[in-house]
Amino acid sequence: MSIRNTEKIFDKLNDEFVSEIRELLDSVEPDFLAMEKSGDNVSPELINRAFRAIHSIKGSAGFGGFDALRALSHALENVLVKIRDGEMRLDADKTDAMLAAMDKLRIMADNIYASNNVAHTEELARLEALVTGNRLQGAGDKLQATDDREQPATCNLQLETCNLQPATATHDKIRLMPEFGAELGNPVFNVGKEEVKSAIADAMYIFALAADAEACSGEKKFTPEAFSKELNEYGRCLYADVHEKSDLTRFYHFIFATILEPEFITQLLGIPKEQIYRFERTDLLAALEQPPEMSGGVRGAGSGVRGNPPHLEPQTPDPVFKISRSARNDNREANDNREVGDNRDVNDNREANDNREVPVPPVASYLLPRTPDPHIRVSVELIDKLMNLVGEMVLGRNQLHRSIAEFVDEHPHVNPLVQNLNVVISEIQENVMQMRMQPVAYILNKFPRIVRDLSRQISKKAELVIEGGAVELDKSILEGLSNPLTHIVRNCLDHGIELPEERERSGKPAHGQIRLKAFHEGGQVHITVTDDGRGIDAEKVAEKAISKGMLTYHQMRRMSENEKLNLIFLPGISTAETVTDISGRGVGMDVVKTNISRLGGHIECSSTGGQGTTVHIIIPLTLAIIPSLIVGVGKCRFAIPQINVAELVCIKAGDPYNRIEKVAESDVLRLRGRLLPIVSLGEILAIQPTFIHPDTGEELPDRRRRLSDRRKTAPLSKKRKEMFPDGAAWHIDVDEILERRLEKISDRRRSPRSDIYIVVLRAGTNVFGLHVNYLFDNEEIVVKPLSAHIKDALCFSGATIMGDGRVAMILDAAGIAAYAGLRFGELEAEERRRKAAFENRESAALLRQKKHREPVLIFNNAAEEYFALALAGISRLELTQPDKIERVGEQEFLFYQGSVLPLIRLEKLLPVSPLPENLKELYVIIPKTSRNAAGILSSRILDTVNADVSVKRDATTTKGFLGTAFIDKNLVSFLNTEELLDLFEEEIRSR
Amino acid sequence: MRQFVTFRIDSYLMGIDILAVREINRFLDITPVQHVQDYIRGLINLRGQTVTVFDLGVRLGLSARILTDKSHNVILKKDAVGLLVDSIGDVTEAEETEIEPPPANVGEIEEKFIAGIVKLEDELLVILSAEKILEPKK
Repeated sequence: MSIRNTEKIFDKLNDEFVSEIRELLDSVEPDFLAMEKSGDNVSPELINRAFRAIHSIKGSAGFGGFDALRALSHALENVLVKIRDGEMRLDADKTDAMLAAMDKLRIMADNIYASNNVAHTEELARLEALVTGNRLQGAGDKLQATDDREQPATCNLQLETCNLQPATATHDKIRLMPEFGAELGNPVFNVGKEEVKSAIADAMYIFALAADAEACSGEKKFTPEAFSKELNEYGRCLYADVHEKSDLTRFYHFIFATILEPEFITQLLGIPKEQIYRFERTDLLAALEQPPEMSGGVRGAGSGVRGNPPHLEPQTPDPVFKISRSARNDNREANDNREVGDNRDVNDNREANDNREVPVPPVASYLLPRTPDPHIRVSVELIDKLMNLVGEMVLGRNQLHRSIAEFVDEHPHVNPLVQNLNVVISEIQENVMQMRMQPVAYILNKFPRIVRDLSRQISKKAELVIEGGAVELDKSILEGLSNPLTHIVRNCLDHGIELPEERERSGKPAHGQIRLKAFHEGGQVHITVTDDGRGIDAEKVAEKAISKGMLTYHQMRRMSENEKLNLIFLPGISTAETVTDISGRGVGMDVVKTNISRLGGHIECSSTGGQGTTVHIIIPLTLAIIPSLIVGVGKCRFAIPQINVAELVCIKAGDPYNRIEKVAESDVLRLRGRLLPIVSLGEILAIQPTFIHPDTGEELPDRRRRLSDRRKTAPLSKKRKEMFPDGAAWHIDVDEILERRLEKISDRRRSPRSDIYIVVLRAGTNVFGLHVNYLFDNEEIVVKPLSAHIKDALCFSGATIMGDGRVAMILDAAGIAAYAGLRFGELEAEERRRKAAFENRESAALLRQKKHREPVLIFNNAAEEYFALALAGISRLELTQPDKIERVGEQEFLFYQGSVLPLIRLEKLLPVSPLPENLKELYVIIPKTSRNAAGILSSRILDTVNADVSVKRDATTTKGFLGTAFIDKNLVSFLNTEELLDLFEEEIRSR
Repeated sequence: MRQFVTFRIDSYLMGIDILAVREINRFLDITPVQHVQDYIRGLINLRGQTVTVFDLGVRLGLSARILTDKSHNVILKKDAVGLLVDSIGDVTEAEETEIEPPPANVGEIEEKFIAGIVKLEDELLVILSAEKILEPKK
């Protein structure tokens, strides 16, 4: 093995160490917290698990020569021993000390080669204080003495262990032959293989002890039996020569397996270190692997092995063991012979001091599968590569499909083959994507610690509830999510949760609760952070924003509670009265927002005063593959990430109320009462728009320049009636329906060229419409980053390769808004102006109402029977065809705006003539009601007129009617919506 | 001995060190990208990777290329950039000593892109510097 190779292997091993250490630290932390919680009744399992983890860290550190890491984990181990032995119980302060040490370990692990330079004396001292403070003075000193200062001594001890006679094996026994020297005797032990194996698997060291019978018996009433009993308390006594003791020597010999370090043993058992020998794990393993027939020469083989260590190598089949073994041998030689050869160079760059320890056998300990690990470590880079390749394979499949489609048609037997391939490829794609996914628990699990530390620091009481930790997210997203979430949780605790006294005063439990919840919804992952604290005062936030000049008073007045609340995502806004160590500087939430947006996510905040705050984060499942809407302008196609798409609007040629207008030089669309700035993608990108001629099917250039010019204005004869009931964004397209009725537009074939497609995009809090030529399908696209040469193109966030192999650009909503220079502020002003005008109109309407005249809608059920409903009481009119009406039993339904709308036939509830059969079109009147919505069927909408609606009821007026009046010489029955709905509900119930 | 991939832009015979070239292809289904430097023709799909295609004519200060049956992309190793050229010639070898420093000007081509000139039997081979071509325009 060349030096270079060795170096590589060391680097690789060290990388492994580091990730291993990190993982172990992560796994131990919750255990510590659990220990703290359980106080006296710490479960031994918990301690042992923590102990094992810390021990492994120590082992790895010792092996790599990371002394600081080793020393600190060693000190931690000491504390754990105390806890295990019941000599100490964890309280908050002790846990603090241990957690601090853990953090230091983490810092060391993060920069492993500099780890020896990380200052850790404070943590060490704290841990030592724990140990000494809780133990009998003498013993404490003893244990404390095991620290670094004693290192040379332990080194010596271990140097001797290296000279150990290793072992050979018979078929079920392993023969261990420690050489204590003539004085102490050289016993031979036959120990059961299985016992040794299980001891090794439990990460135990195996020692041979020589106990001085006389010396001990004088002091401690020593009997070999008692001694082996004592040994069994600390570990496992695998073998004792108690019964076969000869008179030749006054020493008893024991084989002892334990997880304790050699330096502990001297102290615990009171045996001088000369009398303790440790078997090298690798030697043991080699001996265990040895087939029985090879162990012919009992002693001879042993000596041979010892004298010539490489001799063993061919018998270790696992190359990993080889590495560890040769590394160990290097060390051994270096130590034994003080020979600085090539092998030393390997270690020199990472091991400054010469105080090298003979390796504890950690490599073997953690490479030995304790229970088979179902996971395998793979680099993200590799997975990314695989992702790309799979993406390509999918493209290749699609292309192949297209080109062999004809062939498949002609040879149907090929079809199942193709389909099978399809399924397999899709599955591969899915699985590879799955590989990048990690459970959210990965980041959520650090929060109990954060909440605990913080609540102690600011003397608040809070518990954290985590739900949905199994929800999986792309690794890169997860990593990006960690910091924002931490910030939010800290905010919850610092600003949200009140002090315990305050909480009790307001009748809440003293312990605040923070709830972290992750769940899937609509192909995205939602994460909510909820606290039951004091909530955020939206007014206060708004005031702050005004005082900082980010908002005008007028703007503020127009904002909803929620909008005000979400101002906290503006930079520099904090409602905290004092800036604390933890938060309150006001820089936080905007950074959170930026980070979340960078992940392609959204963040929102809602709060109820006195009851708590919820922060809601919505993020895509993966960054690499995103669902997108494909749109087209001219010959170009573009992808828009679904997360940016709020809705799609198609403006039909004959639709005068969704028309595009001009406000201050820019196109705007009035969408449900709000003004939406419109940007034309073709204009922005200077692409000649095209349209497909409806008759010839050819693609022709579209020469129309301005969107706003295309719409004819509303018919002058009929004044537009806008309904803004309670300020909500509704208007009734009564005129349109009337107009359509008059013009029989439904019969006229519409030319698709005159339809306008608007994609309503969300860019942060702003919403705008993007006018495109074509809307294609939704597609899952693989995002390819942009090269440096086109990075500065504001409007694009990436590129992707479409199913046909062509490249399409991914549009960036925020970039387009910025490029187009959309001035959302001006529009808001315009909107305000219009709203004011509308309010004027409304007050005028109110005035009219005083004269009891208001607009009513007149319609037919059966022809020649006229009905009227107050227009103000109608929320919507819908035109539909009879075949769109679904029937369940006698009840009819219409699928409307994503829900099911029950329909009312007047003749079923009222004494009126039935709706004529065989109508081509039906109108559905949807009354405004606080109850479950229902639609009233009608055959014809006639007109809207201003009429006196204060019609008098008389004795003949049946339920469901308000009364009757003559309008335009026709007898019109005014309906009473509420009574009608009553009747409808009765009818349903009676069925 | 150096080898050059040669190609034509208008009537000029040009070459780029073969070591800077990844491949030559005819993937001419170029997706235009707006709001970028004028010499960027767009993106192509090179077996699953997007490659930025420069219009080498525009880049050198000449007119934009018109796609023909002979048009090719010379894909460079660096930056995943392709150069759109009019046609592809042979691989030409030249000794280091044969390469002469560029004269003050070669036609209308910006001097900075020219790494040297090789006099072939009947015409001049303009050696281009891939580095300079990839340098972002200020």
